[in-house]
Formats: sequence, structure tokens, C-alpha cells
Amino acid sequence: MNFNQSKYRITYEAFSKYSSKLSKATTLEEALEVTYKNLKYFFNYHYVRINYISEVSPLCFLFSVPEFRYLSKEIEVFEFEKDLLERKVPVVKQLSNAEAQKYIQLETNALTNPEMYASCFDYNSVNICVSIISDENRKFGMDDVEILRILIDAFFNKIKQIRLQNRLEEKNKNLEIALTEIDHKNREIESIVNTQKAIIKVRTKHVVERNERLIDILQSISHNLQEPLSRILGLLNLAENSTQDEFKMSILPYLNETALELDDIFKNLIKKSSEDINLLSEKNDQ
Amino acid sequence: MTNNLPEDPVIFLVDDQKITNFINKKLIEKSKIKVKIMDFINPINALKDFSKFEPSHILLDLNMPQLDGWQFLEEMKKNEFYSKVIIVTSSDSPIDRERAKEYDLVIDYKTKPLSEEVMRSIFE
Repeated sequence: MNFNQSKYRITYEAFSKYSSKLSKATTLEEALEVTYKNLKYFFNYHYVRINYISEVSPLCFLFSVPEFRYLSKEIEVFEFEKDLLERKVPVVKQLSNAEAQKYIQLETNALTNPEMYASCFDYNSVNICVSIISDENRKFGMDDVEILRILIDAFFNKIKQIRLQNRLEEKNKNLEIALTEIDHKNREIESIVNTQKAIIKVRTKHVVERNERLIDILQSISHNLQEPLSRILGLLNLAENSTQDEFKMSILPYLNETALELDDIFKNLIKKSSEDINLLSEKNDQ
Repeated sequence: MTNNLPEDPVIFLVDDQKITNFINKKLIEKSKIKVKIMDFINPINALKDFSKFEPSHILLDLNMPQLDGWQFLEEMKKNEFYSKVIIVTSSDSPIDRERAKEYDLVIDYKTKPLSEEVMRSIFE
């Protein structure tokens, strides 16, 4: 087994450990920390910048040997990154110490003959520009490009998954808030309806009372009028087959008596209902 | 009114209106039904005379001041007076009709005015 083969083997073993740990990460911070801890097993570097360029939600991850962090606001896209986005061709470039310091946004060790490797990975809506600054002491070589590609794939997928999950959770939360709001509004509506019902009940109370009075009048009409009316009908029925004497002596006087009774009932009824009407219109005017 | 012939059945007319009793009496007479008719404008007197005459039929009004038709039926039950009762009323109320079905004594429910035909249908 030559040196290169054993190097690959160690690197891929490290990557397999990394990807198992990464799969357990549930937040950006966790994913970042796992990546930072494992980065040194994949290749040599002084500074790694992973610029996650997306119109909707850009992110930028910065790693140096002593520290790491990520930016989610006011992310600068460097000139060389713009070139990369356009051409999609990896760049290897010797840097002066001053140039290197311009790019490095974290604390890092002193560099001897710094060099930058930069490459752009295209994931449809997202482009990831990776730039690695290394030097003679910690050299990033061309044989490390393959592991870098695999690393970025895994990292990108994890970030995407976490972001989707976050978005889903946020949507669920918003939905819950909306549901609570709807519930609240429903209760408000219900209470308004109940209040309205109570108001209607109060306002229609006198209408109900008047209806009850009218029903009373109607019932007394049917009771008081039907009886004498049925007597008149009965007498008329008898009259058809009666003798002259019979008619004169009994039927006619009874007809007369009943008709007068009916007349009396009508007079009383009219008197009573006009009293009722006066009483009711007084109430309505109040 | 004493004779040795078999006596005609007795019928009570119970209505607080004397004219109604007069009408019903005339109708029975005209329909040639062989009965002895007794009319009462006070239902209490009808109950008092019940045992003496033992009527086969009673034409009973419901709406009376001294004792209404329902109370009259209750008194009959209490005193074990058996007689076929025909309720004759001027108001055709479904509630009253249903209530009348609760009494075994009641065989029919008629609304005023009655006619000779109705009378014949009752006594046939």
C-alpha cells in the first residue's frame, strides 16, 4: 500500500464518522460544530470559507484552525467569488500575506507563502463558493479536491434539510397561531350573536305579549261566537220542516233571543279589543 | 206518565243552553226515534235524576258553568252510572277529541249543530 492509498483510506474512514455525526445534527450550530471538529482529518488548511450563495437565505461559514463561526447577514461576495459564479472554473492562486489577510475573517496562524484554492459548486437555486487558504506548512493539495467535493455535498444536504425543517416548524407554529386566532374570533362572534339574541328577545318581548293577547282575543271569539251561531244554524235547520205555528211560537222567538245574544257578544268584543289596542299602542309609544 | 206498555228508553239532554236542548229535542222527535226525552240546563240535576230514570243515552255539552262535561263524566264514573254518552260541543278541538277517547262511556263526539240524520246515526 503506497502513501496515497493509505491517505485516502484514513480520509474516507474519517468522512464516514463525520457523516454519521452530521446526520444526528438538528440545528445549524450543531452541523457547524461537527464539521469544524472533523475538517482537520480531511485536508490541511489555514482558513476555509464556505459561502452559501442564495437569493432567499444566504449563509457564510468560516473556519480557521483556532475558531469557527457563521454569518447569516451582511455577507460580502468577494470579487473572486463573483468570477467563480460566472465561470464555474476552480482557481488556484498564490497570495501575498496582505491579500490573504484581506480574505481571512477569523484569527489564524501566521502564513508562509499562502495559496488559495477556490471552487464553485452548483446546486440549482444555491451556489456554494468554497475558498481554502493554505500555506507551505499546511498544504491543501489537488488530491484533496475529491474529498472536498464529497464534504460539500454532505454539508449542503444537511443545511438544506435543517432549513426545510425549520421552515416547516415555523409554518406549523404560524398555523397554530392562526387557528388560535380563528378560535378566538369564533368565540367573539358567538358572544356577539348571543348578545344580539338577548337584545332581540328584549325588543320583541312586547310583540310576543301582543301576539299572546291577540291569540286570547281569537280564542274568546271562537268560544263565544261559535256556540250561539251553532244554535242559529240549528234553529234554521228546524225551521225548514216546521209548521207555521211551531215557527211563530218557538223557533222565531229563540232565533231572536240568540241573535240578540250574539249582538251583545259582538258589542262587548269590540269594546274590549279597542281597549286592548289603546293599551298596546300606549306601550309601543313608550 | 204511567202505562203498562214496555217503556221507551230514556235520553238525557244536558246543555246549559235551553235553546240547544229544544233544538235537539225537536230533531229527535222529527227523526221518529221512540224515546223519552228529558232535558237539563243544570248538569247537577241530571246526576241527581240519573238513578231514577237510568237513561240509555246522554247527549252531553262540554262547556257549562256549574259542572263541565269532563267533571260530569268523572261523577258518572265515581257513582258507577252506566250510560252511552255522546259529547255534543260547538268547538271541534282536537285536544277535546283525544281526551274524550279516555272515557269508555263516550261512544261518539259530535259538533253542533246536529241534524236529523246525525240523530238517527246515533240511535240506530
